[in-house]
Amino acid sequence: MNNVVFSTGGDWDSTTLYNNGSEVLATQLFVELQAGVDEDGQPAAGGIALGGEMTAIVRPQENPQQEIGIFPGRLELNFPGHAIVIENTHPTFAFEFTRVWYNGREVTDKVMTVYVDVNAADNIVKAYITLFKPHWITADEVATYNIV
Amino acid sequence: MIHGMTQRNRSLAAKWLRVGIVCFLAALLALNVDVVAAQRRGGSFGGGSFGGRSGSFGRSGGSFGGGGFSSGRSSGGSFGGTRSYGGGGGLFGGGRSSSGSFGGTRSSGGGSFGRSGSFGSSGYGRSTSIAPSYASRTPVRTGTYYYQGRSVPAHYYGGWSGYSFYWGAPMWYYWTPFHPAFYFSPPVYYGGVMYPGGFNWLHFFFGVIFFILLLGFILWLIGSMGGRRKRIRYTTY
Repeated sequence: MNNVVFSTGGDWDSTTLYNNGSEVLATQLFVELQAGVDEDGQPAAGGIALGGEMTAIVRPQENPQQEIGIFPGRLELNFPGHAIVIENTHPTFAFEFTRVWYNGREVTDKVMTVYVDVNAADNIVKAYITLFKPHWITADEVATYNIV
Repeated sequence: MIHGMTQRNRSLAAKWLRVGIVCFLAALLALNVDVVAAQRRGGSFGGGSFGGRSGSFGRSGGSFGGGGFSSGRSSGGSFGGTRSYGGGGGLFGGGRSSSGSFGGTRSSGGGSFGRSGSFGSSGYGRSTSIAPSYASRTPVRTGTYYYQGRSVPAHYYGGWSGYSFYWGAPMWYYWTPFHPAFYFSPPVYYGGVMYPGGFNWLHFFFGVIFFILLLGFILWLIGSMGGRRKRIRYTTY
């Protein structure tokens, strides 16, 4: 089972990717998780429990056309000031068994979107996470945290 | 490319369950089930077996009404057939002791029901040696209150204070915040007179808390049913 750790200090030189302790030379790391919407496509409380889909792949440097799936396993994304952990150890990668942590707190029931695109070929680094925050009296909040 | 499974799970049963809960709460508030009264009606003194109506049973030789049932009926009795009495000559058949219509022996008490003492139970109240605030006022009217096994005079001062005397015959819903008696203390006995017990601020506090929670619960139910979608604000950090 994969245990992928991505870390960056804010530039390409400090950006590393490891899998089970071994460095992986990659062209692209792409993670996209969509969840937390109801039948009408409106944001709602529930996160992963409401269903969704996730794509998590690594393109190796020796064959950029190849897509290697990360899950089932664990993915750790470390950015300056932000840390995301996505875990799905189900043998068939069933979506409902996905768990998400953001900065050490589990947000499995709040997460709406996780988007991470680290593309060395196109020099693109983009990452953000969107959480649904219900409020008792005031309006519910869809909060997007721009990571990079 | 590996994709996670797309799943949309929505339980209609959970939605209908919430609808049912709201309807049940509404019915609970609307209905005023007088359980004690129902019990009283079931065992009333005036309309049942002890009504003392003559000829309710055992009438012989007479027709029911103005002879309209004469056809097809024997002349022996109002309800057909020949009414007969078992040996012994008792009104309700034989084999009964002559000491009473239903057998048994008279109890040592003076009544027929083998029970002595006064009727019912005493109302709620407390005695005090300190004159209540109402004692110095002139009552609007007077009545009686059953306290500690005897009827005592009760002074009424109008307004909502009369709800205090409701505790003389408490119903189950007096202990709920839906009835005014909940917010008044049982009457106070002083100097041979029952006075209103006064407003119960503790119960009032409990009632406020209860209705706040109830309102929040109802709002949550309504929100969960999706009848009115809540506003959403989008923020970026």
